[in-house]
Amino acid sequence: MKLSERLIGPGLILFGGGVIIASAGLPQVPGVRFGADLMPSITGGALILFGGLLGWKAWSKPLTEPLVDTSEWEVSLRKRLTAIWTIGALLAATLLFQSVGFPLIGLIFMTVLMVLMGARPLTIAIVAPLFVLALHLSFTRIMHVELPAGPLGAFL
Amino acid sequence: MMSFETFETAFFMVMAPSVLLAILIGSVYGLFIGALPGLTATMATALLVPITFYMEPLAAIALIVSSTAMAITAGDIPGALIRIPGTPASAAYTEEAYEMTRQGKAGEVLSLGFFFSALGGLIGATVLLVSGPALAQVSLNFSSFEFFWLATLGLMTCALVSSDNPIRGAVSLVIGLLLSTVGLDVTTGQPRFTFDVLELSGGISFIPVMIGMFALSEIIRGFTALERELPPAPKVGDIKPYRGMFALLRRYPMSVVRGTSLGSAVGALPGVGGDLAAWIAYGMSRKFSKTPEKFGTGHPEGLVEATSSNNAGLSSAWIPALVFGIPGDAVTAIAVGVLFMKGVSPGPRLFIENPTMPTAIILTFFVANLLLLPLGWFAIKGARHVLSVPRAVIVPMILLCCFVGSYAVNNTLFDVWTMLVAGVVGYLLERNGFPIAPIILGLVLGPVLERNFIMSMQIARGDLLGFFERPVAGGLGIVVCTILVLAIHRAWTRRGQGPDASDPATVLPDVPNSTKGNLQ
Repeated sequence: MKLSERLIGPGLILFGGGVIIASAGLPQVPGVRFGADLMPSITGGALILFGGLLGWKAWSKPLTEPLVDTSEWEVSLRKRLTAIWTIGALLAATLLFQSVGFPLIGLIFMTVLMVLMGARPLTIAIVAPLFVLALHLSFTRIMHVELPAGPLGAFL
Repeated sequence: MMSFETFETAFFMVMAPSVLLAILIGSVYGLFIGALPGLTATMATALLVPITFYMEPLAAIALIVSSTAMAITAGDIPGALIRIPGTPASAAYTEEAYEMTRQGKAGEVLSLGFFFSALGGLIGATVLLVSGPALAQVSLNFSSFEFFWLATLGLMTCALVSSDNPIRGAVSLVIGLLLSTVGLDVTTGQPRFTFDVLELSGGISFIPVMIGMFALSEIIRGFTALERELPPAPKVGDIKPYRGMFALLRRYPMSVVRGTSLGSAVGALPGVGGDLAAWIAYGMSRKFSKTPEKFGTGHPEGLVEATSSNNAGLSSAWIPALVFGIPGDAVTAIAVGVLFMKGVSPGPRLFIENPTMPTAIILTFFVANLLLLPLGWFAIKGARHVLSVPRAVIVPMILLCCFVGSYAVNNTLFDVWTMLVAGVVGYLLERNGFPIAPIILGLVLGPVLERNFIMSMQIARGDLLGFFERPVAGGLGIVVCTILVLAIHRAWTRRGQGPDASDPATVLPDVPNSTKGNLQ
């Protein structure tokens, strides 16, 4: 999604204003002149300044492009499905990670995504379990990263 | 001045089989860790500590030195091949390296990374050996004013070189700085923008943000009509490690000199050196280049300077740790801890009472950096296999690595959420022509900048002229202000001249569908 600078400029100004207001609400420590609000206030001011510059530049020229351009998403249905699956599956995997465990989540995620992306069945059957297993063992056994094993934990 | 006897004794200490074996194991381990997205040199070092309990002091430090040097260099591998930078420093040149890989120059870009990293590391180690104490003395005289200006210089360079439009670069930088303010305030310790979320108290971790903004955003883009073709896999025999490296050295000798000098000087500064050196080096390379317009299109010149400065900085980062016992970053802090544990107290007295030990430690840098070349050879040869994996297989693999890599940072799902959000935001920002790199550097250096800014403001009692009163700070301040004025002047004079180079359409050119990958 590409936004026109006519929208980005004011958007940054609003965002910067919001940051300054939020910074003003930060608790002050008595006797501290330069406190927790200083840096966020400066960044908020900078956002307003740069947003103003971008917006001024865009509004001083005639409008030659759409305000919102989503043409990059005009792709094949299969590609759209893959994108939706990927984002949806990443969200689901994050939510179910602790209860289902990494090996099972990883296996389902990889298998479905590889199918959607057009990988050959034999490749999927070999690569998906092996890669998930290798990743799981590298992280848990070598790097001592506690990945939840879930129901497949008994076999690993 | 070090005596020949000291050097000779130290040399034979390093040549002991146990030390050489430790260096070899550390290097192989570092190569493995560095090449995995999400795992850092700091993590690699921390994991080695329990093993060092059972080792001799020199072998223990050699293990840490070699694993760090290799992990940081190997961090360039995923950056070059799949656009996931291993470290904030390698984020400086990830786009350039990935562009070279997309042009079918994977072998060249990896060779360049290992060769010039080794060269930079060797020069940095020489600097450490020859002028370590003197450099440390200089760096210890730096106050918050100098650190503030240095951090500003690095951040500004990054914002200016990462985009044709300085305003867009500046916006990205400000977003990074704003993200860095999340968490406990660096001066008063008050929670700031944490929204009662416990995980936010420690701030936003830069690793998930880096993974999301570089890797996930690229994958999201792959689902759109803006999809870029994956880098082509070189044919068997096409990858010839290190071929043409001496020609590059002859072509860009000044880049190597500048990169290593800068890396050695900036790297010695506690806390900021390692990450800053590569960014400033890349910006400086573009500034002094005869062909600055080629930067960002897969041009090796900036890579030569930035990679050599990266490893030179890595060596000199040990200067304050060894000479004064003051670690400048997490890796050297762990190493100092290990030295204390082994009954070796780093500091000026160590150089007087037991000079062979610090000399031997410095010599391990030489061996570790030399080992980069043969181990790098295997990594470069293996790159062909990574690039020959079809898109339908590599994309799911990258996504899973992103997921686990983000989780591994703190063993928390919060970092996975951070990665996901960063990926979507990164995609939107890039689509609209805002560069990603300044966000990462802003996030990493934000606390350093803020701490030194607040401290300086308190010392100067709010008088901004106080930032120019010390000689070095004043000099750095003038450099920063001059660069800023020149950038504004350039942007002003370019106004209205021809098509806007910063237009997102030129940043992300639409590629005809027929030439895109095989997902259709």
